[in-house]
Amino acid sequence: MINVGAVPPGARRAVTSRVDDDDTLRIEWPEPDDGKIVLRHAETGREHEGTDLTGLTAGTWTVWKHGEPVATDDPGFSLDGLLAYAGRSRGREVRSVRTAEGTLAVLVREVEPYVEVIKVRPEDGVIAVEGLIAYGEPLGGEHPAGLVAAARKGPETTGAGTVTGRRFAGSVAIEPMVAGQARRRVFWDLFAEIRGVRLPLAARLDDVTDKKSRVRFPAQRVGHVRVRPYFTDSDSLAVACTIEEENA
Amino acid sequence: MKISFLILNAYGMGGTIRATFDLATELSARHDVEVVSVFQHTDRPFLPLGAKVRLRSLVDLREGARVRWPYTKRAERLSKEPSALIHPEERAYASFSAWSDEVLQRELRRLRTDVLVTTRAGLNIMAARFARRRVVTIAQEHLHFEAHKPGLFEEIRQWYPKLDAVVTLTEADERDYRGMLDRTRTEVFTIGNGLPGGARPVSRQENRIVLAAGRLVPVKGYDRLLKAFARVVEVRPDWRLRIYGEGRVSDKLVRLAVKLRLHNNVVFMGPTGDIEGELAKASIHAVSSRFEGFGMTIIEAFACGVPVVSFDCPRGPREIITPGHDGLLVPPDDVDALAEGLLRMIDDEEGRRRMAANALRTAREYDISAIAGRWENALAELAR
Repeated sequence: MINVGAVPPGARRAVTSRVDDDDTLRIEWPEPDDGKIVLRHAETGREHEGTDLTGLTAGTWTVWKHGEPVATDDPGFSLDGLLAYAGRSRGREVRSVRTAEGTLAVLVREVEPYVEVIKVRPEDGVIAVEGLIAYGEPLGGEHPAGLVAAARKGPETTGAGTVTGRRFAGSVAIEPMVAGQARRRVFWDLFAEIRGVRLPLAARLDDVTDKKSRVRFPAQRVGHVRVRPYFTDSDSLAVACTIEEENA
Repeated sequence: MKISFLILNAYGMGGTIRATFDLATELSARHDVEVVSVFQHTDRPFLPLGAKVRLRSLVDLREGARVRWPYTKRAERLSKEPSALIHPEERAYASFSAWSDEVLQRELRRLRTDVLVTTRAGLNIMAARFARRRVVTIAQEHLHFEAHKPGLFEEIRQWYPKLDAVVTLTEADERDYRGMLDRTRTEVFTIGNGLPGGARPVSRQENRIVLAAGRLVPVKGYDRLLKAFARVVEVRPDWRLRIYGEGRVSDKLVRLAVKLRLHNNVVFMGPTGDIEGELAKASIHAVSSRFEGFGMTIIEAFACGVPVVSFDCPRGPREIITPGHDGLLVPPDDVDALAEGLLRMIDDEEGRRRMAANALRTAREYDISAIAGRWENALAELAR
């Protein structure tokens, strides 16, 4: 009646529906079930048989069995699980999700290495960021790293940081970012610089959409410039430096 | 039996609408059921309503809506005048107008139904004044007894004795209404809100997420929840709070969260059409309300295997939560106590899992079929 969408009432429901580290779709039923799993690409209608999901093309896949969508009671969402899954080098991310209708879907997207932002501390004249390397190789031991702020079509400034295994921590001073700012508003993109490679800083290993408007960081002020981190439309971490109006 | 529900606005979202829709849907399996919405501002209702339930509205607020001849001019004029029949202390007073007075009065004088269930003080009083004699009138109170201001309360005292029954959500309210209606013919029943049947996602207790849900309005006490959570993250910085809903104090709350430096731990998630899916991703449900007429989200959380930490506010939570069994009750208005309760639930993982399992069992008592059965018993008693 409610929240079951296309699933007929009384249909058997999966207890567990997760994508394992090796991109296998693991579905557990209340009792043994030998039906064949078929995935259907929502955009093209193309079908994929079986639970080995390696090589699936990007997009949303619905999951079927006995000609009906698979219903699941597994919220299919683990923040720790998403972080662990991103703990090694991958070109493609496969996630299982429970839709609002209670059915199982698989989301596939292409990924590149970046640093998943865990904490942002905008205080004491710096922006400090902690994160974990996602979809890239972790480094053995501790290494120096940089936190780069790059103004769009403008200068750059770099602060110090470290990488230990997957864990990145770094900070960048905000004073050099606002020095000589002439335009009313300048946007800076942030990167972790690890062994000469720039990795974007972003928060993508969760289910929060529209972080740009949902997450609000505290602002710092340098003179009459307000410096506030924010998430962009692609959930990357950036900083807006805004000259405050006299009467604002 | 023909049963008519009269509701302020069936097209919005909120606890009263959801509860009315679920009950109407369940009763429609055995009865002829309609929902009459005083106002309509969108084409379709936001919340799901069973296909067998008829839905109609009295005052169309949609853009371009016109009242048919010969009332067109009269409607235009009266819509601008304040209501004279609804007491100004009715919380929804601003929604009503002299035009809605006229339409409502006409509707009630004309309505042929076996049972009329009205769902808020202003409409309950209108039913007492204008419903036909043969109609069994039942006033439902989604707000708790003491929530009504003195002037409105005087009207309640004056008119409710003309009703056949008052249905309250809590036993505490039942006692108060019985006291007020002593020596009148009006019956009083307690019937809580029901949980619709069907499967639900169940929390695995695997995410360090506390969830709160409800309109972002002062009565929900989210300011105190944010302050309490600021203390929680001092000790448990990897826990997060997700607040679902929207409302008029949203900007204020966002500013408070920034001031409390909760940017790494709190997200205002906006409204969701799948609160159960979201609950199942969380491990704890927090209720920080100043008042809670019943506490439907507590039962929804239970049904998704999520234990609750709640202020012991008037009146719903304490009648639903058994402390230590399926949740925790902390002294109302006490931010420290709320923080402590949350930390206790966070740190006792074994206890939390046990309470989550118990919560699933508690939720079964609120199954809509059981609730509809209690309504039918009450209706049978009133028909005698």
